[in-house]
Amino acid sequence: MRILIAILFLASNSVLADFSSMGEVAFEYRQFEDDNVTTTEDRGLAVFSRVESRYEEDYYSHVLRAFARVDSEEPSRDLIWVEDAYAAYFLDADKLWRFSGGYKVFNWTALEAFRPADTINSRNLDAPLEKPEKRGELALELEMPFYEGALTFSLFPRVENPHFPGAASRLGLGFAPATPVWVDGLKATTDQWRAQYAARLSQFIFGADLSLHFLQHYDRQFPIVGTTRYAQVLGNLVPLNGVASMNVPHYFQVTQFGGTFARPFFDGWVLKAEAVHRSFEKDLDILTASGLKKPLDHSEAALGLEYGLAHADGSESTFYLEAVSLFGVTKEERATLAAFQQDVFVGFRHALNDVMGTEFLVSAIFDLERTHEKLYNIQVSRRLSDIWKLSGTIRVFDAAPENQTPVGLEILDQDNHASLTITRYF
Amino acid sequence: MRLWTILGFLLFTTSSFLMAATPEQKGLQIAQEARAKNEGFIGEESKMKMTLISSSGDQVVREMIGKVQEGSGEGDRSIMEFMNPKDVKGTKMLTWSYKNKEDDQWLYIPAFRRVKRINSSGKSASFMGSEFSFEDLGSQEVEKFNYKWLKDAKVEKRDVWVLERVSKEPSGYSKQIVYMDKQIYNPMKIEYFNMRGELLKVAEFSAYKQYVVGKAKVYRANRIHMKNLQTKKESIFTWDERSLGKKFADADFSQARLK
Repeated sequence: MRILIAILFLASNSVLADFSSMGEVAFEYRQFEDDNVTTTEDRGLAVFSRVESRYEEDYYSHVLRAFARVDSEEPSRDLIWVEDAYAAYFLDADKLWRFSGGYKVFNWTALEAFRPADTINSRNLDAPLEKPEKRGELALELEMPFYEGALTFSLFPRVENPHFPGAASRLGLGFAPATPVWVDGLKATTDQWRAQYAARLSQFIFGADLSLHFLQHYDRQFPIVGTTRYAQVLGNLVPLNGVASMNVPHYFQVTQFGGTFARPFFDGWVLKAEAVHRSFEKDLDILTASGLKKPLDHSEAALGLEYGLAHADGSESTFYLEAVSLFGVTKEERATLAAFQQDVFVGFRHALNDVMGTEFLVSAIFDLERTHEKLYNIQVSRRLSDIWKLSGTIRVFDAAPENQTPVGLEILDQDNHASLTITRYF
Repeated sequence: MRLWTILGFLLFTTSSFLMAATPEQKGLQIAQEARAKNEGFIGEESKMKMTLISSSGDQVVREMIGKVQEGSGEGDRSIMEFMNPKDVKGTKMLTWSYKNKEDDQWLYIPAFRRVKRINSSGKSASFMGSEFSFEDLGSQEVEKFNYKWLKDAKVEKRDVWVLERVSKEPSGYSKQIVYMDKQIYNPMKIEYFNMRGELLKVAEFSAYKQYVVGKAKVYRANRIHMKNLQTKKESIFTWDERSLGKKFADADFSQARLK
């Protein structure tokens, strides 16, 4: 990867006239409500930066983009990631056939809060929910024209490890997960060179953006944390290396097919939908804190409505309503799969459209099935100048655990926090 | 006799649209003629600057780059990329405009690597905090308005047709009064009236330049000065490094190429 980045960087500088760059440096203060637990860190003080350079000329282009964060209070948040480092070349004069290779961040979503189809990249699980931090995935892609859009074939020869919150993180599990393993049949390995592939059809039909995909890869959303090294002792399953060894995230191969849809309608409305079905390879049992587990085949669908309204003073408001549901599993299984299983998102954004770009966002997520799980979010952002911007967030998790082992959003109950970020753009 | 025939023919051909039966027909004919005079630019690429002036005189500058591909039969396709302020740098807006239906629009948000479909009907919102709305800067397809010729007049010693146009689509304005130059077939001034029928804004078009693209000779205003009469704020939109006749691939204006 370093060689690839070096080559692209040198190519960028070889013709400076076509070279563009942008980036940001941000200072973030994050304060959690005191949980009276000495082993957790209630405060974060971080500096993060993102830099991007682009080069484009005729049929050739490349993009470099990297992200880094250092937190003086909570070192587990430190990371340096390559998001994009790829080159692309058009194979025909009409720029319809394109081959590209390198690290890429993908975004296959149509919705704002719930994103069932957007599953390719590994993520930083300590990132804000509304602003996922994705790690670039090595990909070779061929894009070709097809009817009213494009058909893209992708090969992903390598998986990237997600970034987990540390033991002291308020957004973590209370322990530091071990290095992830990738399950291939009965083998669980840390070898990241794993072949994966995808095909995606994107179409613009009758005014709608429609995409369909087939994806054979290693899932990143539903790991099973436990161990494969266990034995039966007196009728009980016991980890061979002690309970502490049950901290290994296991990622399974999954066949996923699904799609996204977005279409404006009437005056100011946009209808959005995403749906996928996931079928896992499940030869291997994992011993977890709640017994032996295998990944669960399931479907996930989300539907959204967005309504935009422009006001006479030039400001605009946007209303969001989205719902997500996991199918093909029981209520209890659903709760263990994800934080949002049968939920509704309501949001309201108001942009003053003033010189300083002042914006407000108020949103909430309610679980319709596990009605005690709620998440509230308030955000305000405003430019201080053309290069500085200030933003603040307050997030409240209200999901008191009903049983001894928290599941779903209960894991984050009372991890309420406020954050203030000042960003210098360049 | 021959002289009278020639004079009669010239009179008929040069002012046939002025003989329309009703003010509405005459207004539409002038608008159609103006469109015909401005066709043939093929493609356009430019750098744009917008100066926002507060009521107290403070100024901030916004910068953009844009590409337009002339539509063949349907409306034009355009991409506008924001360069300044820096927090929105890299944000791109792709518009496919149509003559007889709402435009299709997509927004590329670089922070998320995401192409988001947006509803183009919220046109009356302010464009980047300026006195321009998206509606003022978007496609001005003739078919999207009802026209009416009001009178002939002079603006800064130039002969103009004064036309009223009312949007057929949802709009932030009850009507617009367009002062169309008779020589270059482009507006010299547009007055925008709010939904209460009050004069809200006035846009003055200047720095016209003729661009020759093949056989076509088209004019473009390289400066639009928009004054909000109610808030006393002003915005000045200027074009730099504008070139017409650019040939783009259709794919340059696709959602996939926004990333």
